[in-house]
Amino acid sequence: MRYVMLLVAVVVLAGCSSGSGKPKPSDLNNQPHAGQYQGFGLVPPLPRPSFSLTDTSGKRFAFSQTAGHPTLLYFGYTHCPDVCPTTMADIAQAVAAQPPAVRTNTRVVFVTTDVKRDTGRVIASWLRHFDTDLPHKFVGLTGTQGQIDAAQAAAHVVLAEDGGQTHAADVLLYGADDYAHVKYLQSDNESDQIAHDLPLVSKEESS
Amino acid sequence: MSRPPASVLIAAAVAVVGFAGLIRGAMPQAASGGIGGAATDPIVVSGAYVREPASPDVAAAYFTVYNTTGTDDTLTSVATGAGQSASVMTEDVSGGMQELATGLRIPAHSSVTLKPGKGHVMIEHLVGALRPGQYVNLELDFANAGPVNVSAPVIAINAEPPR
Repeated sequence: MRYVMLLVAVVVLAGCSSGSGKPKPSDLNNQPHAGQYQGFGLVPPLPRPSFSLTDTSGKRFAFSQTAGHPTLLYFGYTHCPDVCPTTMADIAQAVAAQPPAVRTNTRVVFVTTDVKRDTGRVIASWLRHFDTDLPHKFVGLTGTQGQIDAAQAAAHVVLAEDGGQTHAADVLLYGADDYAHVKYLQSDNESDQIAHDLPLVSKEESS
Repeated sequence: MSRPPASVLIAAAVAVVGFAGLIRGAMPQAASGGIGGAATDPIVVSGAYVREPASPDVAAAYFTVYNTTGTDDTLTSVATGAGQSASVMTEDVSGGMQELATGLRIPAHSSVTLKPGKGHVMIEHLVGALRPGQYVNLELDFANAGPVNVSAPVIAINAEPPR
């Protein structure tokens, strides 16, 4: 919890320094450990987690199916008016802004934290608002509460509470090397940050 | 014979129009600079928008509220025709979203901005689909200023918010 609050404080600081107009790359984030990335640097990097859930067509989906692909992973819920749809729109915009090779290679996985209301159909209909123009449809996953908790733990995000409505806002970006070196939180710059970092993690040699 | 000269009538008309013009001119100035005055709306709302919802049930409205007066005011409730209920949600200390029991305080000569991750008006049980180009009417009720009507455009799901 303290870690989350620290990150929120950093976001506020980054927001202050960005000033007016189109942010310059160096203004997007001034926190330590970010290195070449515009998001929040993860030191040490987090390995691509192993978990299996159910996709929107009812089939089993192992997250390892995304191995080797730059992958954006986000936990949220569709009855969310504010942060979740804004975050998904930011992700979609960032992917759409990539050169064709990166765009085609990138995967986006959304895992619901509201297993009661978010059925496969509800998630699929929600995701189609964001990914219509992209080469790869976003993957939407659900499961039992235990499976969702295990997936969050495997991804090292704070477990959601209140029927999934209080959840980690982290967007994790795993690279071609199957590690997340960077993550993102909702901000005015989120889309630009992701767009900047995606090509950096798309090559095997990224480390 | 006792008719006043035309120049006097014109001068009077100019004075009246000029006075009215001054009053109108004062309003945008107050909105941007936060300078209160007798001829100024106590509450000015700008930059309102509703993002096209991905969910069929719930949407969020965002805006900036300027309190041009020298007294704190409170946004106590919101009503809208777009959904069955509307509540003002703001970020709590743990980073979650919470409805404030006491309303949203707008300090004197200050502004509060509701934006993603910081706060929004949650519109639930939508009456129908909201599509870009439509407008959502909101009535914001303030403890001191009373009701303020706002027409918020619906923007596309991936559009930049209006400035």
